[in-house]
Amino acid sequence: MAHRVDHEYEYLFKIVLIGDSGVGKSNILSRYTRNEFCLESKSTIGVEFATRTLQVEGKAVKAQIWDTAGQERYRAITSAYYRGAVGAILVYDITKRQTFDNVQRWLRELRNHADSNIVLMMAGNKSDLNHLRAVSEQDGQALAEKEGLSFLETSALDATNIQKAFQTILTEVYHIVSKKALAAQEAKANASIPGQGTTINVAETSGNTKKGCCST
Amino acid sequence: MYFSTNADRSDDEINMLRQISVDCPRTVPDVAFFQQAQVQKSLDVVLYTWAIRHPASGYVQGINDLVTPFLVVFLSEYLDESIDSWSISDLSSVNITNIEANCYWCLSQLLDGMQDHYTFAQPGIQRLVFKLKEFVRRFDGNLSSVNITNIEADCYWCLSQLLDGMQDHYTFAQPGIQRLVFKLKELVRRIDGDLFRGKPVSRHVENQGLEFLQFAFRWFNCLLIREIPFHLVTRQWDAYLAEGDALPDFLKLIDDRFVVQFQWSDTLQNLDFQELVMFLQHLPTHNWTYQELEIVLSRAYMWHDLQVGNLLSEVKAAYPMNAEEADARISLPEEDVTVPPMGDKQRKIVAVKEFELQSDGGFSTERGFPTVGQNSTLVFSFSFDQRKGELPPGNRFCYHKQGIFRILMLRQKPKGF
Repeated sequence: MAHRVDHEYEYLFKIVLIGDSGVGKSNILSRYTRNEFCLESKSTIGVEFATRTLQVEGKAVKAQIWDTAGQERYRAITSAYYRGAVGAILVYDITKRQTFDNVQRWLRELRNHADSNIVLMMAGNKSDLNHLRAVSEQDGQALAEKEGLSFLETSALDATNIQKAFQTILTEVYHIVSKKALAAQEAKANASIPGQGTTINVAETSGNTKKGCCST
Repeated sequence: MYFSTNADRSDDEINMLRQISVDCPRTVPDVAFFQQAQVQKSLDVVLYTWAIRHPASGYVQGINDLVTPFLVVFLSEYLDESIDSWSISDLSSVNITNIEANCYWCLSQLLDGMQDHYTFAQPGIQRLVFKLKEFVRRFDGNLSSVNITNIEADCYWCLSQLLDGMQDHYTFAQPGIQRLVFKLKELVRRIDGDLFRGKPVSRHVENQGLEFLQFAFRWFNCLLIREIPFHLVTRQWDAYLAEGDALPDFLKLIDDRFVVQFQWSDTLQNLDFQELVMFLQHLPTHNWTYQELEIVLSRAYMWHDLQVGNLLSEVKAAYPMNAEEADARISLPEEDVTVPPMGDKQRKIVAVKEFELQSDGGFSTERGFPTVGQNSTLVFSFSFDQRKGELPPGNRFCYHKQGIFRILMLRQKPKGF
């Protein structure tokens, strides 16, 4: 059987895009991975998927991005996709107050289903529609600080901050993962000192950084 | 009820309205006709009415897609030529209201049997995805290479699957049937060992860690509407509606064809996880013509016929006491059992003629369908592969797979609409 292994990246990070329906998650994904934007895109059913490889501090990182359906009914399906995700971008629409008010519900959703140290970012999308704005940038910033999330206002339409959003979250993930790898190495060094007897499962840690996010 | 104000609506209803208004502009965005204001308004009316009358599920994204084939068929009565040149403003408001009512009625009929596709956690779809997975595993590879013994074994297996799927639709009162299902399952379990050898696609998919749910969910949720070009959708739906209650099962078979069709299985072999997901979520069907769709449908149909036909006679032979019950549960009339499974063209054409004669004086249809009077309008073209040529001019109707006709529509509003 043909088993091709993609050697073009060193890290594979799984990122999920979440938020109310119609806030522009799918267009953020298409802008980032294919540099495309479609004003009348279809609603997402279940999940959709795309990847892009980029450089983070000199390392090739492959971002595997899962774009989820926004409607409540799909939660039961989409929450399964949080498993193994190392980052999540929570999107709201700056022209629709309710999508911002629902951010809290999405955070709860993540806390219930996602990995506890998942890196979170909040994106106020559609910043090109400034004349229709219903959520001020300060409100977004304040909520982000309160919840400890990084925050950007984005526009998939004119591409503002789209690259930056992914670069930010992936860099943050990379830092956490490389710190973990370092800690694991130190632990290994310690463990090799005779008499100290603690078993540290190194394989598991390195597995998380290299591969395996996809198989959930 | 559609025209009441927000003050009279519950929070759920307001949320539903909001969701529908988000999705209407995103319905078939690649066909300009759907962007016309009145078309969107009509979609909105139909969807909202359906949603509040089906509170167990309510509106779920993707159901908007399911109205579109009905809308196109009803509109084609008033609008000529290609959909690209249609303008809904050519219709009177009375006609539009009628069309909305018709679409509502059809949508309800279509979804009545599978509401659990859209309720919490969408168990109906999850079950179908599971079955599809099992099915691909079993029928992977070439049809012609499957020998008779395997087909028989597969038939037993499929019957148990078939009956399983109907637990939701019918009450399970007869212990005899339960025993039957159990016996069949046991039998299949014993044969399984032989059947699971060398089934490349499913093994590859499994090795890559890909879940069927990751690509087949939308297929079932939107009944594959999104997987083919829009101009082929009415043809696809002809086949669906002809399947009636057996639709979920038929869908499984069509989906199976999508996975194993056109050397895609070779393509799939060489893809890694990411490529697999992207391929299966964006199937290369945008250039499809009727021909490709016909192949998929007729293959699925063939499997279906083969299963149901063979199964019934098998079951009758093996368990004579339970034959009637088995028939009733699969809801096929007695005579169907004697129809050769691969289809007797001659016999079916005769059936068409009979129907034409009867339609003048009224024709009572099966459970759940209204009686058709003299002035009724029948919709959906009669078409199944080579039998297409038999379409009587002006009279369009639906063909049921074993010589029974189902009338899908008549010009009559549902009560209270």
